[in-house]
Amino acid sequence: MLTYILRRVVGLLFTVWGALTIVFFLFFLLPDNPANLIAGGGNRPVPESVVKNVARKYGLDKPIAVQYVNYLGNVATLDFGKSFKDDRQVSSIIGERAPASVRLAIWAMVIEASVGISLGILSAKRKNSFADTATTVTASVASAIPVFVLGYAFQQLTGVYAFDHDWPSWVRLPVQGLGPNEWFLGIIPSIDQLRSLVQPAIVLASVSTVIVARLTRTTMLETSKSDYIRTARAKGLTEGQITRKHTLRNAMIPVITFLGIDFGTLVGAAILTETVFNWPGLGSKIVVAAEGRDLPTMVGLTTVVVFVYGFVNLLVDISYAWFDPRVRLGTKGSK
Amino acid sequence: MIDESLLELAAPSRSFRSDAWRRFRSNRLALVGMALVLLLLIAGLIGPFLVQDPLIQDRLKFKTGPDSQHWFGTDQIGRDVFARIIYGIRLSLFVGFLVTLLESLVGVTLGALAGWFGKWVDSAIMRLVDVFLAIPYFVLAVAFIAVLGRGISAVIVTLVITSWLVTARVVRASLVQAKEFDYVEAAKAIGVPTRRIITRHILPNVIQPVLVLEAIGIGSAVLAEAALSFLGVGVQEPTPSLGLMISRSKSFFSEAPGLLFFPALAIVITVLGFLLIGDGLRDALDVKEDV
Repeated sequence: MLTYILRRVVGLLFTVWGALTIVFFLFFLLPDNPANLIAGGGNRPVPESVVKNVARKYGLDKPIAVQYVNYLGNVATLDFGKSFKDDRQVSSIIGERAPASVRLAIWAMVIEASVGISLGILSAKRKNSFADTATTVTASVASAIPVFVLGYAFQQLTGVYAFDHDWPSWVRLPVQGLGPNEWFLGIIPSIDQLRSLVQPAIVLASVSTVIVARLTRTTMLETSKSDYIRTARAKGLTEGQITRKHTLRNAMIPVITFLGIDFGTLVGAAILTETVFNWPGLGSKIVVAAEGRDLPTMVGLTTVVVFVYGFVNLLVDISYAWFDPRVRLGTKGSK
Repeated sequence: MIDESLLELAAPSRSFRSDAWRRFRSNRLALVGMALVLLLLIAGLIGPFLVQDPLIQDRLKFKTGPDSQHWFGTDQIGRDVFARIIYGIRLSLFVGFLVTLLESLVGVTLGALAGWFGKWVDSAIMRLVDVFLAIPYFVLAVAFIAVLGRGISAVIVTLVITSWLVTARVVRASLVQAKEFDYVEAAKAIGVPTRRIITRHILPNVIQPVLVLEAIGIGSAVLAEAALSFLGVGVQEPTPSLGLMISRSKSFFSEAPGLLFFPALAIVITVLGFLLIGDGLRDALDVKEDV
């Protein structure tokens, strides 16, 4: 078990390093001189001496290899440098944006787990019924709707239509921004906070909810064909008992794996949702940084996101290995 | 030795392919997908010759609703929305098919190399895939587009770079699995040449999951192009792109909801069509569902 964990931790560090390196060198393939951009160039000419000074200040005058080694050394001590845009410490940008991302991801997770799993169970229990077909068709259509269109649809409904037609106040919601930023115990939103949170959380959860529902349905149906389910039925358990105690417990393993991996993705990859709802998280900031050629911010945020993704994956795999010895002995795919 | 003619009497011989096609045909949702894609292909290939110029502005009509001259109305600067959607569909299909074609060439080649040779080739390629997959998709895309410059070719290259990863993973996994099958062992044991083992016994097992993946992948590429254009880093004005149309029309939603609704509908139909075909193929070919 210990060797397994160790091997995976080394793998995680390698992945983070690789991602950091890719993003770092991509930046230097950019056609324009970063020092010139920081100095305000691009559209208008900037004096040569200013560009030079800027380059020296940010260490951009050294060879790329030297810059890379320096940067790696700094990152190893958790120093991500300063933003090219506003001279702020990247670590403080991360500290400010990460909580919003994590909270949004957690609530999206709660929605996709509860709605997705219930729909999946319903579909599986009444296979080929109207409810099953309706769920399948809705799921297919829903997964074809772009996230940003879904976001706008919500905003139009609760932010414009509801106000124009005097709907009750609980459906008239703010459609932009974080809201009052009030959380109990760090995670439970206040009533006012909930009004700002509910829409981005639903939109962020939408795609994964569909996947969870489908996955639950498939694994439930597969599990219900197992020998031990037949045995359970033969010994006279009620259908409810069989579902709760046998089918569900075994069918949930792949679903929980998916949810774990998906959480890692949601933290950093909520870019479209964050952009549409102006939610101040990590993902939308990365895109802004990439567009503005803000290397330290871009690499710093990417590193954090990759680390979170890898770390959550690691936790999922370790818990998986804990429960299933075949995984840690490597006789079953290490995924 | 069994007399082969007796076997023929017992059951009419049917190839796997005709079996799969029969199963596909009997799947109603898959047929709906086929119909949707057929409709889009007609719209995208023939449509542009029939509709108005998508760039010409009608200077008397801005954000008007549907009428006999402009079926879906006009946009904020007086261009015909129907024509822009037809051209947008053509662009989406072009991006979807081209990206999928290039991406599967890269993905299948590298995945096959990794799965076939194993050892360090495998580790090197799959490590690379792992690292790329760990970087959030849009971060990678935006970074590549920053390097390549904006526009349609940058979008295509970026989508290829970001989407071959999953293909390679799937190809490698099914290849490794297929290598272990008993009948492959048996074929090796009785001295069937390697080339024949690959083409007859291994390839069919690898090709099926790839088919399913790529059918859905066309839809995903369409969705990704729309998202990049929506974020402003993809296709640029005045080229008609569905994602760009949505991003431009959001501020006029109350006055002209059609400007957002029609392009969104076109995207949904495209993605849904390929998704349903992919699902149908999965069931027909009996490919195990992967997360």
